[in-house]
Amino acid sequence: MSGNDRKRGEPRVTIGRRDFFKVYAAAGVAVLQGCRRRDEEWIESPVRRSAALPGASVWRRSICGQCGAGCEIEVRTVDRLAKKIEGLPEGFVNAGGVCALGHSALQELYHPDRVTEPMRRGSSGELEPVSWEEALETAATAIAAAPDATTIVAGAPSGPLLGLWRRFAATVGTSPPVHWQPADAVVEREAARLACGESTRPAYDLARSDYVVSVGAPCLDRWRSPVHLGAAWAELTADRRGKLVQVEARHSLTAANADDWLPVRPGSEGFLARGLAGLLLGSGTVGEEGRTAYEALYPGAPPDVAATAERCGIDAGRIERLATELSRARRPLVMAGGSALEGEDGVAAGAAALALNLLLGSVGREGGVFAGVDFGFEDRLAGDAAAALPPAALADRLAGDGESGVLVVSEADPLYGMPGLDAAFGGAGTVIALSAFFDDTTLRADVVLPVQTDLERFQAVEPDPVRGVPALLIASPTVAPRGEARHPGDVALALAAAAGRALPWPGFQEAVESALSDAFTATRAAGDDASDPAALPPSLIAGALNARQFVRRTTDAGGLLGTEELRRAPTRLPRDGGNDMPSALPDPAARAAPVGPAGVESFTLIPFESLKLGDGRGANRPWLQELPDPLSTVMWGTWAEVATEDADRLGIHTGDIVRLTGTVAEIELPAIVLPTVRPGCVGVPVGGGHADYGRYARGRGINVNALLSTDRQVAGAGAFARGDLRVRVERLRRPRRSERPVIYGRGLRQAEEIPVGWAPHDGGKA
Amino acid sequence: MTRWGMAIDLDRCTGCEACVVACAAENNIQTVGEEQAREGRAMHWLRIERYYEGEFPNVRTRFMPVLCQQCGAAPCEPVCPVYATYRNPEGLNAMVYSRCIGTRFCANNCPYTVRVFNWFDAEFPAPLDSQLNPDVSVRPGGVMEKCTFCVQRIQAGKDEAAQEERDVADGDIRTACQQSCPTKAIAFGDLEDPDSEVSKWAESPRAFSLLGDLDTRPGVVYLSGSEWREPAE
Repeated sequence: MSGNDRKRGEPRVTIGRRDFFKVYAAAGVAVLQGCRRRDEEWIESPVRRSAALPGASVWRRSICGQCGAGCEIEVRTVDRLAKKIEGLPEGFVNAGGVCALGHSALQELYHPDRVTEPMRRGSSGELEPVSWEEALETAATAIAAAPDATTIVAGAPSGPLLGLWRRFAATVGTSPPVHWQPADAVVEREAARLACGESTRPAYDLARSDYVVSVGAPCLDRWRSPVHLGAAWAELTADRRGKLVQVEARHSLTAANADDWLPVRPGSEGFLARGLAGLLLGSGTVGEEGRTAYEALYPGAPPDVAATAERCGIDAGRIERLATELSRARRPLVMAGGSALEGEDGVAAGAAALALNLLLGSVGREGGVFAGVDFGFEDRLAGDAAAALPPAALADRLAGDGESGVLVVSEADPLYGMPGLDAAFGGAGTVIALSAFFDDTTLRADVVLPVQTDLERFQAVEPDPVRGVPALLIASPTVAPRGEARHPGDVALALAAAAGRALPWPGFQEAVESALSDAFTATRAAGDDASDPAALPPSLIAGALNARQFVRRTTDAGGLLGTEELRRAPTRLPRDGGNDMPSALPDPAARAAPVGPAGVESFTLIPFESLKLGDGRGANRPWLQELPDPLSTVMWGTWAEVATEDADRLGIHTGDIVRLTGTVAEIELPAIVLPTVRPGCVGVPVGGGHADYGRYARGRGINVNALLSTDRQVAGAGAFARGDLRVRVERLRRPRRSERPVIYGRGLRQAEEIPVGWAPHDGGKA
Repeated sequence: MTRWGMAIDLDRCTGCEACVVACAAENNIQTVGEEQAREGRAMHWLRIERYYEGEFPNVRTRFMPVLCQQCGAAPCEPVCPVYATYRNPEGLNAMVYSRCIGTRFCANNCPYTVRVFNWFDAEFPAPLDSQLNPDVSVRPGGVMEKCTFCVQRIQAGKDEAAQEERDVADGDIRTACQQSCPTKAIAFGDLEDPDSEVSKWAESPRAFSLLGDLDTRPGVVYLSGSEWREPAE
C-alpha cells in the first residue's frame, strides 16, 4: 500500500474481503437492473460511495496534537473507528514520521477512563454528572461574579486556541491567561530576544549545517519537534557529513546519539559558552562584524580555557578541540535548550550559547539560526487582548485571588507540573477544569467540562517554528467525539456567552475562518506593502477571488503553508535604550560558582522528559507505560539514574530503593546504576506518580516535580526553575517484590556486545 | 521468487522507539501490565537493544532494533513438534496460530530472543478494543507470536497490485515500523530484486548480519560503522 501517490487530504480507500462481497452483491444488483423496466426506481450502487462501505479502510488527514510540533498524520478509520496513525508522507513538519507519543493518541481517544460527560461537585462533595447547560451556568456564574479574581490557565500550544483564550480573558474581564508550557520554552524565547533580538523560539537549520553544538537542547528527545529534528539530524549526519556535539550533564538520548558528548557540570553551560567565545575570538577566524556584535553584548573579557575547564568539570583539551572544530566548520550552528535553560540562571546561559552564532556568522545563514516566524494567528484571534502570562505568574495569581477566586484550567495539569501550588489551589473558591481525564488538577475541580481529544476535534494549529517557515495547519475531525465531549474553543465561547459577554463567533472553527477572512482582506488592502503586520505574504491569497473563497480553499487544502523564501534572520532591534533591549547581557561567567556539595550524598537533580511519558501526558497509555526507556530499559515506573562511581561509594545497586531529599519534599524510588551518568548527578524522569489520570497511570511511579519549589524561578523569564536543584541521596533498602523496577530483560543470548561489524570502521586510514 | 527482507541503518537509528509503538498499534500486540512485565512477559515483537562502548566520560551508547530475523535457516522451525512455524515461499518465517500448542521450544531455540508467548488471553478493556486492527487476529493465551514483517500489509500490497494488473513495485509495501521511523532508518522490500532499496542497502560495506556466525541466514541486514571525520582543509 503506497502512501506516496495520494494527494494531500484525499481519503485512501482499500477494499477488504467483506467489501468484496458488497461489491459482488452490488454487481449482481447492477446486472439485475439491466433486466428491469426503465421506470423502476434506481438503486444507487454502493461502490460509488465506497468510503462509507462497512469494513473499508478510509484514511483521513489530521494533525497530531500531542505536542506543539504540528505533525501531519493520516488516520486509518474502519467503520468510523480510528485504527492506526501514520505520518503524512508530505507532512509539513514530519515528512511521514510519527513519534511514540503520536501513535498513542489512539489510546487517549479510546481510553476506558475518559471523562465524557460534564460533572459538578454536588452537596455530598462528590462530582456528579450534570447537563452541559447546568455545568456551563455554574461555571459562568462563578466567573461573572468575580472576573477580577478569575485566573485562566491555558495548556494549548501557542496558536489560534491560545489566541481565543486571550480574547476570552479580555472580553470577560479577567487577567490575561497563564500559558502553561515547558519552562525551557519560556526561557528560550527570552534568551533569543536578548541574544538575537526577536522574542520567538529560534529556528535551527540543522539539516544544512555541518557542525552543530547543542547546549542542553535535547533535540532527539521530547523537545519542540522530535520527528522533524530527528529527520534533520539524520540529514546532518548522513554519510557522516556533519557532526553533533551535545553539551549536557545528563546522558540523554541526544547525548547518546551525538558524535561527541561533553558532560559538563550542571549549571555551567553558560560558562562554557563564554569560554568557547574566548577561544574563538583568539583563534583569528572570527569576522569583524561578528566580533563587534558579540563584544557589544559581552564587553567583559571571556574566561580562559583553564577556568572554563575547572568550572565545567571537563578536560581543557576537549574544550579546545571543540573550539577548533567549530572555527573550521563551514556552516556551524549553536542551539540552546533543555536542562541548560532550566536553572535559575537559565536565561543568561541560553543567551550566551545563542550569542555564539553571532561570532560564527551563523545568524540568518544557511545551516544556521533563523527567526521563529509564524503567520500570527494567535494574535489575529486575540485582537487587542494582552499577551498570555508565563507559567510562574500562576503562583502570584493564586495568592492574589484568595477564596473568592475562580480558576479555569483548560487542558493543563498545573498541580502535577508544580505540586507546590497545592496549598494555593486549596484556597481557590471555584475550580473549573476543561479536561478529558481526571488528572491531578481535574480531581480538585468543582466543575468538569469534558473536552475532545485530537482526533475528535476541528484543528487549527501553528506548528512550533523550529523550521523557520510559517504555517497554519487545519484539519477536520477524524472520528465522532465520545460521549458529550466538546471542543475546548467551543467551550470557551459558550462560557463567555453564558457569562453575558459573548464573543462574535458561534464556534472555534468559525473564529478561525473569520481570522482567515480578515487576513485576506488585510492582505488585499496592503497590496505590495510588506510592512503591514496584518497582511499575509501576497502569494498565499493569489488566485482567490474573495475572502469566502480564500477561506474555503484554505480549509480544503489543510491550511496555509509557507515556503523557504519566508525564512528570515531575526530582526535585530537597536540597543540604544529606546526599547527594553539591554545594552549588554548578563555574563554567566561573572557569576560565582555554586557552593559545592555538602557531602558525598549531595547530588544535583536532573529531572528530564522522556520520549515515553513526556511531561506526564503519556502516562495514561499502556503502550507507553510498557515501552522500555531506551537508556535505562525501565518500563512502568519511575527510577533514579545513579552513576556507577557514586553507586559504588554509597553501596547502591540497581533496584535498591533510594530516598531523594530536597528542600520541600522527599521521594523514594528505585535506583538504576548506569555508566553514563556524570558523578554527582542523579537523573529522574518526569511523568510518573499521578494521583489518578486513569487506570494505567494511577499511583504508578513517583512525581519528581514534588521536589520543585515555587520560590525557585528562572531569573527574568517567569518560569519555575527545574534545574540545578541539590538533593540528598540515601540508600534505604533492597526493594520489596512489588517495588522492583520493571527492567526489560530480553537481550541477545549469544553475546554481551554485538559481535559483528560493530567496531567503527577506520576507513582504511588507521 | 520474492524474498522479503529488511535493512536497518544503525547510524540513523536514534532509539526513539516510535517503531515499537507503531508495531504494537498495527499488530494488536497486547500490553501485559506491570506485574507480568516484571516477570519478563512483555510482548514486544520489536525491541531496541542498548549497548555501551567505553567508560565515562568517553562513553558511547548504541541502539539496535531487534525483531524476528526471518531466518533462511531458522533454528525455531525444526523444533516445533506441530509444524506451527514454517518458512513460506517468500522467505517469511510464518506462524500458524491455530496449530501452536505452546511448547515454547521455538522461543527457546531462537538466538535472537524475538519470540514471545501469550501467557494469558489478551485484554483490551472497552473501548480500547475499538483501536484493534481488523486485518490482524488477536492471539489467544497459550500461543507463541512474533514479528510477521506485517504480512497483512504484504498481502494488501499484492492485492492492490493485482487489482491494478501490475507487479508489486519496490516501495509499495511498507511495514509499520518502517513507515513510522522519523529518520528513515529502515528499508523493506524484495532482496531478490537487485534494484530494490533494501538490496542496495544490503550491498553496503557497512552491512552485516546479526550473530552472522550462527549461519541462520537472516532476512534482516544491519548497517553500521561510519564515524564523523573532519573534512580536509
